[in-house]
Amino acid sequence: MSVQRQDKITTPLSDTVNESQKLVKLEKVGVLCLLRGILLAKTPSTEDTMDRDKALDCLREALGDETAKFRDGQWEAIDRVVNKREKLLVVQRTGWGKSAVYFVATRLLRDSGSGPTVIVSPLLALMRNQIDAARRLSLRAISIDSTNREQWGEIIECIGRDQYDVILISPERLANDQFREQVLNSIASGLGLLVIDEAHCISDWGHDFRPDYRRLVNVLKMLPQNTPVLGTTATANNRVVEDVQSQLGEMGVQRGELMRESLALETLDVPDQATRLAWLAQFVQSQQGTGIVYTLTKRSADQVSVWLCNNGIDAKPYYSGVSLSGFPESNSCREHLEMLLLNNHVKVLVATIALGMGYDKPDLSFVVHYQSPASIVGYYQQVGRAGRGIDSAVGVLLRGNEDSEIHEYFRREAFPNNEVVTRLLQQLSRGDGYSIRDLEGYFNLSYTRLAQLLKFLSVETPSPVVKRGTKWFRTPVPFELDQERLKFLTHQREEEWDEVCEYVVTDQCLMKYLRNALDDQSTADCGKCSNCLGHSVVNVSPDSQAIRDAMLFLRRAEMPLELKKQAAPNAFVIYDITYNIPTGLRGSEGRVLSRWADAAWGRKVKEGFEAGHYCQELVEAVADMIEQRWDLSASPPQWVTCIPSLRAPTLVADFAKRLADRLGLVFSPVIKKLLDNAPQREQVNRFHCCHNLDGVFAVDADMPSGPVLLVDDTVNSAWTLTVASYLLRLNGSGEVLPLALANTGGG
Amino acid sequence: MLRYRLSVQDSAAVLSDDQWAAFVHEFNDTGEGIDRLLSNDCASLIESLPQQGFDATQIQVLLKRGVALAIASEQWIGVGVWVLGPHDDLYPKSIVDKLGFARAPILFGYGNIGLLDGKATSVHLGDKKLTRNEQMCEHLGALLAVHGQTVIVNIDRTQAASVLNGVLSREGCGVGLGIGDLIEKGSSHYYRDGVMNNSLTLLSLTPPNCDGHIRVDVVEEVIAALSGNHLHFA
Repeated sequence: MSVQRQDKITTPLSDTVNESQKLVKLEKVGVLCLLRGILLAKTPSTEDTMDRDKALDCLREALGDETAKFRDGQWEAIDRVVNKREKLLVVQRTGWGKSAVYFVATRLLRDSGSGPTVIVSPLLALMRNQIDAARRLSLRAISIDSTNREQWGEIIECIGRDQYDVILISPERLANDQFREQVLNSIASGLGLLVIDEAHCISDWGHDFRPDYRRLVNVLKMLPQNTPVLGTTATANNRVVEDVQSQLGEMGVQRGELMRESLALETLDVPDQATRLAWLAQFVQSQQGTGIVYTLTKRSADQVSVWLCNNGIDAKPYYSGVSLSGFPESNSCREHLEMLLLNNHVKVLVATIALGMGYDKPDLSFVVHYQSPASIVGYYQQVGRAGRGIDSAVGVLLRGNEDSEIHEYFRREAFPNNEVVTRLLQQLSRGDGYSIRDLEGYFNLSYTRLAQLLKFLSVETPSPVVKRGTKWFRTPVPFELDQERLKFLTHQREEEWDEVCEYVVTDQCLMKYLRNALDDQSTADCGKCSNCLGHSVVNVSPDSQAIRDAMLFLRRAEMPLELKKQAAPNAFVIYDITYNIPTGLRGSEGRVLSRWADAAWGRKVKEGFEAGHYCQELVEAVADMIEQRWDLSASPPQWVTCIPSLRAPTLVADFAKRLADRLGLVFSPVIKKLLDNAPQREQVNRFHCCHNLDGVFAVDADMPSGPVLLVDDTVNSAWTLTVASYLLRLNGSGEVLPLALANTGGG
Repeated sequence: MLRYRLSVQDSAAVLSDDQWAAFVHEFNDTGEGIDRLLSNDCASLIESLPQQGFDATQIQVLLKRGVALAIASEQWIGVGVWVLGPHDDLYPKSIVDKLGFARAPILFGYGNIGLLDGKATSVHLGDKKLTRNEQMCEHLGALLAVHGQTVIVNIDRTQAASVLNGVLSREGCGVGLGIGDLIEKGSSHYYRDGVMNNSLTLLSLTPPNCDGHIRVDVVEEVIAALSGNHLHFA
């Protein structure tokens, strides 16, 4: 080995050493200081300064109304952004005209030679509305999103040729590294104005906090000092405003009054669902215009929508992931539904908060909350969709029995658990990149939950994880979950929920209550709400027949049960199921009687489970469902079997036997349980659901012939019924018709 | 802003080393601080320079990339990469002293800045069969660690990882410097633990996830500047 040792180096560039001594001034400015100080473009000189008259001309021209005037605060906001190049947060009520501010500002900036405006907007609905609004103001707008991915190259070229005045992107896109590299960098060099719509999402104290906004904040912090930034929101209380300011640094705030003069508010405490459904049907039928009914879950949105349709009301469900035949993906389906309501082709959308921010239908005449929202701030935003462009509209909040439990669940699931985070980071440290599918094998967490967890960690700064391609890597950044902060935030959310509960029972003016909760310190009563009037603002009182109909509807709200078709790779070693379950070995579509603990049969199922015996009423309910509403004429069941249990051996078997007796069929318990596996309800992702069942059951080949009803009490992932069906078919059974008493899954 | 492309897609005509040196030279003759480049009238100042070896228009175009730089920086800092320029207090003095301010590159790094004190022992691996021997390289690293040496290697070279592995196996300290993708290297199990327990510093002369426009010989110059001793394997 030849080792050459040198005690001192000589550099070929030693003649440059002296230069450094001249560069004292340069040395005083650090890289990060530089980032914060760099000018984007020239600041308008005095001659360039836009005056109010010019801006007013713009507004009038855009609106096609020669008498149009600025609303209070609009010109001031434009002036601060265009002439003073400030960072400004505008908190104004819905319908005040926040978009007019940034579109007029854009017009003025463009006319003075600035680059285009980039609007970061959180929802598809909002983005589409913005494009239309911009066009009405003679601005050329384009949205860059997942629906036009193939056109990104062309769009970027057009931006390069300065053919767009307004570019809309979502915060999710902004946080996507690939998008940033491919698209954003091309736009960024000529940016004239940055608009953050629904800026309250920046605050994790806000009801709408979105992790992707955290990365947006990081970018904003580093922007050149004179890049004008306009944040807009209608729903920020002082706490949220202060949080946004503390995150973004020097940012001015402009607040307006939040009074909504056209809205008449009411609250009703209606604990049981049947009465609420009956009330809702009668209310919607009594309304002239169109509206939105908000629910807390997708399942409720579906259920309420069906109920309204059954009552002759044209209603459609709307939520993230909603599907309709003819729409291959959910986004286009949602767009279609939004258009239906916008054009009055549907009476009501029954929606989750997916239809919250940004949906703009000026003549929306009512908003009803079928279940209570999580916070007053969120409620103000949602109810504020009604009556923007009409003289009178109604907002009713119905409080139900189930609301508190649902919100408790949401709060519990909102933040990751420290132990899971630690284990996840340890696993990522063991290798060089894992896909979420890879991680499913190591963690009993759903794909969605793992994705959320990684997203949560990826927006921490600095982040302990990084995504490259489809794989996640552990970065060399030490990380500890800030549990105190998460505890604090959970506490905040509990307080917000308490505020909603108080709203339902308060006897003061409801609009004043909302305004005060949003730190608009108005003392005037609205004179329109049920508390001000001393009587209901809607004349609705469902009769007992309507309530009975609703109860019957709830009790007949069984759901189809789809079994699984594809197993997780390497999960069924004993059963040797590699991936696809062969068609001939699958069970058919089955039925689930209820949702676990719901107001109809679900509560009886829960009581029976806890007591160790399912009541005869449930046997009758299932028999009624089979005989009256489940068309089995093509393959009528000849016998009944059930999923066995080692822990409660008689619970399901006894029920299945009584059901068989009631239907006049043979009960034959041919499935045996060989292993005492972990409870299946605790298995969350596909791999663990499958692996937990491997080798657990065996089937006695000596079984009756013909189609069989396969009974279990609860179903979640449906893997138990899938495996049992597979084994029955493998051992020569006829068609398998799966049946469960209650679905314990979320949604 | 003037010397680096900020992403793979960035096609900006950034200044070469020579153009940068020429610009710095002329700019300093004006007696102005660099903050003048951020002022509204910087265009007239830049145009007033003799422009021997660079083009004022090119510089003005590059200076308009403030938002792009903010976006790129957010990405770097977001995954824990630190960025040091010669004007930063923590920037290794030895690099500026030996290369001169105009030639001193921006450093993108993971890990302990304290290891960049100019006293490390650099290990230069040649192309001989011996230096391709993984075990031998690990052994060498371990040996240096036992003797309390901080070892610095060109991390883009074959077996550089083995040397650093050897260093870390004996609880020594190491510095890996190159022009490759820092995030990829920092996220690799070869280096991650060392960086996390402050015994390894990874440096790149190019921004993460960007095309390198740095000459390979600059890597060797920086290694030389950060080293007190050198071990060459011919």
